[in-house]
Formats: sequence, structure tokens, C-alpha cells
Amino acid sequence: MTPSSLDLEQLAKAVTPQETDAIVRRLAALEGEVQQLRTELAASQKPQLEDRATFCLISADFEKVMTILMLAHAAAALELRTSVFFAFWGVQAIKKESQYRGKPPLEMALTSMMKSNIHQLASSRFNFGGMGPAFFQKLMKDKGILTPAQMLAATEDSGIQLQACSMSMDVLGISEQELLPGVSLAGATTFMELCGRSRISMIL
Amino acid sequence: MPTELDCKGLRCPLPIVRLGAAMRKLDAGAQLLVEATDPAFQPDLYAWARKTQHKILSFEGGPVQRALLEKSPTP
Repeated sequence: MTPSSLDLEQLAKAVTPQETDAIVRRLAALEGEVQQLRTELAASQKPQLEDRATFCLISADFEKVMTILMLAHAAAALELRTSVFFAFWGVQAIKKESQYRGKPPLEMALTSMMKSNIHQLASSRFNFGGMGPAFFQKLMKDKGILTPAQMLAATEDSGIQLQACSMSMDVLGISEQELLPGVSLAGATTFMELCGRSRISMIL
Repeated sequence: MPTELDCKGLRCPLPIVRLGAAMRKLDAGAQLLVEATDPAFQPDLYAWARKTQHKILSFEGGPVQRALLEKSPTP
């Protein structure tokens, strides 16, 4: 006899009322448990957000690079798997150096007008030909605040994944050899799919 | 024989846009062979497959990247 075909009335004649009560209570408890498991199963089958934060930076302004890197480090500290997608001007922030060899003249001209690395970032206000950011960084060092360059150097230790938009690189004439080691190439689909799994996504 | 899709010369996000459109026209279990040259094609393709649950049967890197895809039954 399977449990589902149990006839409680028949069972009541064969067992004492106390035993019947115990069986009924047990069945009620089991039904409750089954219902709860069904609910949990249904919930687990819905797409789940991961403990993940995904950032996109499209600017090479000193203060925007600083903000995104600070937030990325904070996210990583909160045990979120963190990645930063650098697009358009933002790619300059993850350059190791500028290279000219083998580039067509137009790309050479672009390269000469762009930042070689994170140390050269200009601020959107109070730049004064680079004096502003130099001043800010001196202030930050004096006050024990990490500069963008220091935060970028620490991304590997924090497990922050750096991605460069390959199309922006192509447009701006930035080659893969000019990027810092550890930066991977990615596209719009990669970024959007990461956003879809992230609790937090931000663009600046 | 898989359906063939030429995405050579197309730039992000067009290869994924085109292959997504091509995939929608196929029946479950059908295969699509895609060729692409976009530098971000590989990570984008894997991200797309993770989201859409379609299968990447094989992937070849190189200047021309080749991926053989299989359409999964929609869940």
C-alpha cells in the first residue's frame, strides 16, 4: 500500500485513536514540508542574481576614473565579484604605455593626443594643464588617500577584472600591446550579460 | 549540414546581433556555423551562449574565428 492510497478511516479501525492522531499530525507536517520544498524549488529555478558588481567607465577624467576604481574596490571588499569595462576615452586609464610603431598616420596623431597611462589623467575641472591632478594627488598622498594609479595597481589583489572595449580600441587606435597585462578584451554583449547577472551595475 | 553565417568584417555588437537573428530562425537542435573577425567575438559569444542556453559545439580562434553552434530547445 502506497502512502497516497492510505485510507485514514480504515487505518483508524486498526490503530488506536492516539496513533491515528499521531499519523495525521505527521502527515500534516510532511505536507507542509513538501509544499515548502516545492516553493523553494520554483524559486531556485528562476534566474538568480550573483554576488557580482559590474561597472562601465567611458571617461578618462581623473575624478571619474577615481570614482569607478573606488567603487570597484568597495564592491570587491563586499565580496562581490567585480569587473570594470573600459570603453571609449576610458580605455586610456588602463594603458601601460603609448606605442607608435606600425600605426597609420591618423592613429599616430590620435595616440599623440591621448594619455599614455593612468598617471597622466586630466580632471574635468581645475585641470590647469595637468597641474590640478598633480596637486590633487599630492593632497591625497599627504592625507593617506589612494590615488587612481595606486587603486588601479591594487585591482589584481582585489580580484577586480579589467576589460577593454575592443571596438573603442580600434576607433582610437589603441593596440592590445599598449594595455596593462591582465586586461582582457570584451564587447558589448559580454558587458550586458555580466550586468544581467549582477546585483549592481553602473556606468560613468 | 549546418547553416552558415558570415560575420567577417562586422564589428561589435553586430556579429552577436546577426547570429541571434539567424538562431531564432532555426529549429531546436539545428546547427549554425559562424565565421567572425571581431576581436571581442569570443567573449561575446560565450556570454551570449550563457544567457541564451544555446550550445557552442566548437570554437576555433585565429584571425577568422569559427564557431559551431547548436540551438537548444527553449525552456
